[in-house]
Amino acid sequence: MIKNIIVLACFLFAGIKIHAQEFRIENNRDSILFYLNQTTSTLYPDAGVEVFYEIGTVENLPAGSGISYKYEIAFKVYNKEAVGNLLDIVIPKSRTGMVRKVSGTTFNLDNGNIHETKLDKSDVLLDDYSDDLDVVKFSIPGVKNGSIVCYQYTCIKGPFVTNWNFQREDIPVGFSQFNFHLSSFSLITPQVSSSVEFKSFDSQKRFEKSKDKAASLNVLQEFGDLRLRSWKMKNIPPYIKEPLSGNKSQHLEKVNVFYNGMSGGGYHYPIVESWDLFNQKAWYNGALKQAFERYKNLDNIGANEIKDLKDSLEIAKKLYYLVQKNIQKSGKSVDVKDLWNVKQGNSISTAMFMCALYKNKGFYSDLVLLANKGSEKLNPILFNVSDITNCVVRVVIDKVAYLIDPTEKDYPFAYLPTYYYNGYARIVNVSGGEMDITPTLAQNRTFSNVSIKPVTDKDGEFKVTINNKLGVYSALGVRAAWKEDSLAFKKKFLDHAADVSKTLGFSINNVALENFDNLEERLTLVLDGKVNFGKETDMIIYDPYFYKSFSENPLKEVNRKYPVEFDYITRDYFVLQFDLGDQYEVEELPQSRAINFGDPALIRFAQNVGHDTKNNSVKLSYKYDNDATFVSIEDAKDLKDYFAEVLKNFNQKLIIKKKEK
Amino acid sequence: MNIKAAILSIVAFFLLSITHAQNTKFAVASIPQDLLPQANAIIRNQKITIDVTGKNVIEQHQFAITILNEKANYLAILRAFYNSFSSVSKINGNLYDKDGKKLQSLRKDRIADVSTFGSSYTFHDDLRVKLYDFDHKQYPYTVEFEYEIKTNNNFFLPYWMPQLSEHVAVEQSEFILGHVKGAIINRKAYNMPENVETGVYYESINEFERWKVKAIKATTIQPQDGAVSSLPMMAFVPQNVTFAKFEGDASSWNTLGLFLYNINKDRDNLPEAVKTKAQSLTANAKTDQEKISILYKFLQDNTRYVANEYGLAGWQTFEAAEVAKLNYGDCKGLSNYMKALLKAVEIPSHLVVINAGAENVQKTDVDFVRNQFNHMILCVPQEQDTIWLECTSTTNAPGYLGSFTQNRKALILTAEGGDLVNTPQYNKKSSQLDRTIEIWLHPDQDKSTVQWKTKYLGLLQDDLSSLLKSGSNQNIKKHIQKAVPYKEYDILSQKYEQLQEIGKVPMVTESIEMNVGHLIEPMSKRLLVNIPINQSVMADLSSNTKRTQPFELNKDVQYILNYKIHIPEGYEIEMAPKNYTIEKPFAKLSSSVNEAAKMLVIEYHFEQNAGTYNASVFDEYVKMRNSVNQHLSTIQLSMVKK
Repeated sequence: MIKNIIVLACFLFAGIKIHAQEFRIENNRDSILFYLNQTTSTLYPDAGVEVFYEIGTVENLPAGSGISYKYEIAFKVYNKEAVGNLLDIVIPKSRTGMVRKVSGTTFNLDNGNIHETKLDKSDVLLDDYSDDLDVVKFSIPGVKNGSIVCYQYTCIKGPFVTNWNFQREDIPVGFSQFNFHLSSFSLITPQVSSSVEFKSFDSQKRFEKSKDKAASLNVLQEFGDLRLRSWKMKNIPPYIKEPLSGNKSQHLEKVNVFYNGMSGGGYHYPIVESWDLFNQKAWYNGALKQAFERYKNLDNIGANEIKDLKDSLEIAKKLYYLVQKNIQKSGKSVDVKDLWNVKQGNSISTAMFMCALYKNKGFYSDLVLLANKGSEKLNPILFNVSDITNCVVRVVIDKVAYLIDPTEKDYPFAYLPTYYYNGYARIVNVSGGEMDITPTLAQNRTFSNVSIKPVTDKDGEFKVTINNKLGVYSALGVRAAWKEDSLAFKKKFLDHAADVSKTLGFSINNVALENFDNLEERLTLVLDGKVNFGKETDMIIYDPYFYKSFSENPLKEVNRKYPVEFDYITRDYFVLQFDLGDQYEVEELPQSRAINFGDPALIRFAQNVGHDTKNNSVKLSYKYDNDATFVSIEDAKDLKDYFAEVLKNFNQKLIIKKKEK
Repeated sequence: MNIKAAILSIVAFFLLSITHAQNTKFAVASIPQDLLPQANAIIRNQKITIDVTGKNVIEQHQFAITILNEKANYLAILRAFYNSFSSVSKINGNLYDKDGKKLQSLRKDRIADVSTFGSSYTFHDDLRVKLYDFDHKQYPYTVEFEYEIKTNNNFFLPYWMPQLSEHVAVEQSEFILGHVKGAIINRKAYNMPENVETGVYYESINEFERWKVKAIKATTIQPQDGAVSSLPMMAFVPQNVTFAKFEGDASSWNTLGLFLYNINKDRDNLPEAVKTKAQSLTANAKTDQEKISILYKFLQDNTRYVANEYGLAGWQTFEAAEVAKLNYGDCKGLSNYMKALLKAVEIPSHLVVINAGAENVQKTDVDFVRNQFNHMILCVPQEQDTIWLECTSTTNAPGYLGSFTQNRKALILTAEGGDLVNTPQYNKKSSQLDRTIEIWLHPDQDKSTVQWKTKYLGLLQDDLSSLLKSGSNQNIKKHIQKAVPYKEYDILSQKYEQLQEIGKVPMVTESIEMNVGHLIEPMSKRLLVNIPINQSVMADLSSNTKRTQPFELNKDVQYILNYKIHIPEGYEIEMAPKNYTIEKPFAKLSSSVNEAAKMLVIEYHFEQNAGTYNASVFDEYVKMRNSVNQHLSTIQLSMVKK
């Protein structure tokens, strides 16, 4: 009987192999010759590299001795300049892990024949990286333009691979498969993110045979307790980043497998049973417990600063700025009771301290855990705790919830970095809960005011004053540059007046930054300068837009694969007041315009231009605002046209000329 | 007072003094006020002792540094580097608060010992670092560390750089060099302050030379100052050098070259099959130049750069046969492989060490014999002229070095010793961008027709040439997006051609036809034309201080922009830019505007003169750069109906 089982298993295995061979070009000399003779990719002529197949397999080792991960790839190198890191392989592993069965072959054409270069075992290098981590490295030998490369390795007790990208940046992939063969007792929930529907199979044979563009398998192995889960895709185009399209991880074709412990045979050990239970056990009564405890030594902290304040919001802000200013971010975890004394701690310690301080002062406060845009989104059903990246503090005042992260030094109260606004997040408090973190409060409001006045005793010379109140997000870079070196910052403006105004004869005399230490007020850049039109020039074509919401069309391509995404709300206001004095008069003015996008309008632009003939002055003002929103692929063309219209507006000039004497 | 009480009180006073002294040793209040401006950190005390009296070189490092703000946190981390020729031991350290009160001592079990893999270009080497970070963030604070490094060769003696970095001031720093009396250790000081205290003491047959500096103020490094070292530095080289099993003499470039030659000699033997391949490839070539071109192309097509520099391989090339087997290597391996290919067809060549990097032009100090090199290339002596080969580049034309290694000293390694020579310098005619832009304005349409024809030569073709070799349309698209200044455009056609011939300056020609929006803006009385140029031609050398150091422009380059603007039917020019010239010793921009039959021709001609210029003319440079940027930003025209 045992023999029969083995024979049957062998047949099953052989069956898999036969079908698998279809894409394993290294097993077919004719295929190799065909592809070696090919000089460009048939489907993607621009591709420098084309992956024929890429397979990852996660499996249980015998007798529950751990997990192995096997990686296999074959690709064609059309241009070795485009190969990136595909040829130099780096495999990190723990000290107890092993990298085995490393093999690699490069196929080249040699006088019409196939020439093979094998990876030599002695060229597989081990780097003793640190106490806990080794790095296994090898470089593929014999590669030139036109080569076909295949390699594979198996990592035993290495990293637990649960995410698989079918798609690669700039490289097309012919076939990609991820196998996840773990015990049927494993609690597994896969999540496929794809533009293509995966046809599901419960027969391995039919799955292997299927010609569908995308297919998935979920079957309990006939012999044993292994559940075979596989996902495969064919002909996956390269990922190409598009402007205003959010993060790459949002768009890649991929499968993420959420592993949540073991269950079956009378026992049940999930890592997370539910978000709320996990909140109870792991966070509220566990790692984040200190945020909700009462500490006597917090009584005095901030007491002096808030003693004369009555308004709750003002008090909350004061406490936020107190912590933001005094606690420095470090890599250390510090107990809440000690944090104020040592004045430093990691972001979780600081968040817990902030929360505890708010509670100490009578506020309703708790913590919120989120996955930022560099990570997978949190999922209400899948309990993907390992994707959590940040812990922020929620404080509720007059039924309004404000989210803060006091370790972010340049953000005002209730503003978070834009990449934090990534949807679903988990609330940590006695009962737990969920919320959506959307950028509804994330406004970037910029107000630019330019005043130009004649210098009375100098022919053709005007004094220019630019007052630029920056929005929260626009201010970040300016604040960082000032902090880095305020003298260099000033000098940049003084030495580079042409970057502010292209008008010939424009120069800057003085640069000041207001509200640098006051995050509640908008950071304001004040530039004092002058423009000298010259005595000889009779007519001046003047660019009145010292600040443009954008200076080139943000959407370069008409055809997009991904929707347009605006990270935050933009509100730009610009006012130019130009007093022409006695010597100049208006020849032509830019036109007043109002242009909206969408119905109801998602983006709005309105410009007013007026000439005060009595005082001989021109006032030009515009307002541009867009919501933090998505624009569909279908509407992207209209959006591009809309931006072109706004650009056309910014192209207008103010024409003045010398008055005739 | 009895004697016992007196003694006790003296002891108590003494103990109190010690405690007090310990507690205030690194008090921030005791830093001289004049060291604080521009400083992010202050070296309170540094002592480096290098002992070359024995078989091994023993380095003892002690330093205390006060961190004033977060910008200097990186200086508070102990980093003791070592490799397979050296070891680190005796690490100690302490952390002090602003008052000099000790907060913590270093915990030996928390010293990290990590490979430097991932922090440099090398794929595999033996460089490791012992790291310790108190991770303190309450400013100001002070850390002090000490450690010892034992090395079994003297070829890479450490140099003394008391200031560590810009924006760091120094209270005091001391360097002691111990050697056997009479041993020759050459040394040279760069940028050292005038008040260096010197001294010497003897122990048995050994001599200990001592240098000490005090009160160096923090500075800002001024970009492109052309200095070998912008901060104070003293370098040392023993006359008798050792490295692994090799011994040599560093008294002259000739002997240093011989030492490096001996490390790398006899490693240029190829397998017979590769020799035969080289011979068959060049069988029909008529000249050596032709053979060199063919074999250089073979190298470029068949190899790639992978830096495996473990141990001796950091300075000794891999065997040519190994590179032939793997088809990859580092700069030494690939240069040596090329040397072996040439040897197979009886063309002699020499390995060359050089200080590579676009910013390292002429930074090799010819007056101080020292290993100042970070790269290897190959030179092939010819009757007419030497051919230089950059063997790590898969895109360079044969005989062309590019900005990475052009115009600098290089040490040729031969059996007769080293020869310090100059690599080729490319002049303005051979480093040029020459673009003709022809524009047809269509007043009744949204878009104008624009045709670009550009010749990129020499150093100005380097980047584009690499992009073209990458074969990626995405990369070309990025190049166009960077080069084309228009707010909105659709490319109708694009074409590139490369000229790469040995003995000729490499050239790329680019032709682009596009429809461009926003060039014309109809007003009620006239047609305004705005043609963005946005051609950046002068480097930004701004820093936060008044320039006191000379500034170096390391390339001779020339830009010619020739605009031919077709005047639309029925219109005439109302206003156009005027002729303009600005000329300084370092650069010249001139523009000429001419109206001919229905066409306005505007030609911009910019030249930069490579050289080192006095700080006194730096303000003129900045002023000129601003003016040039304004003139090369937009062409503004006004046209009216006839």
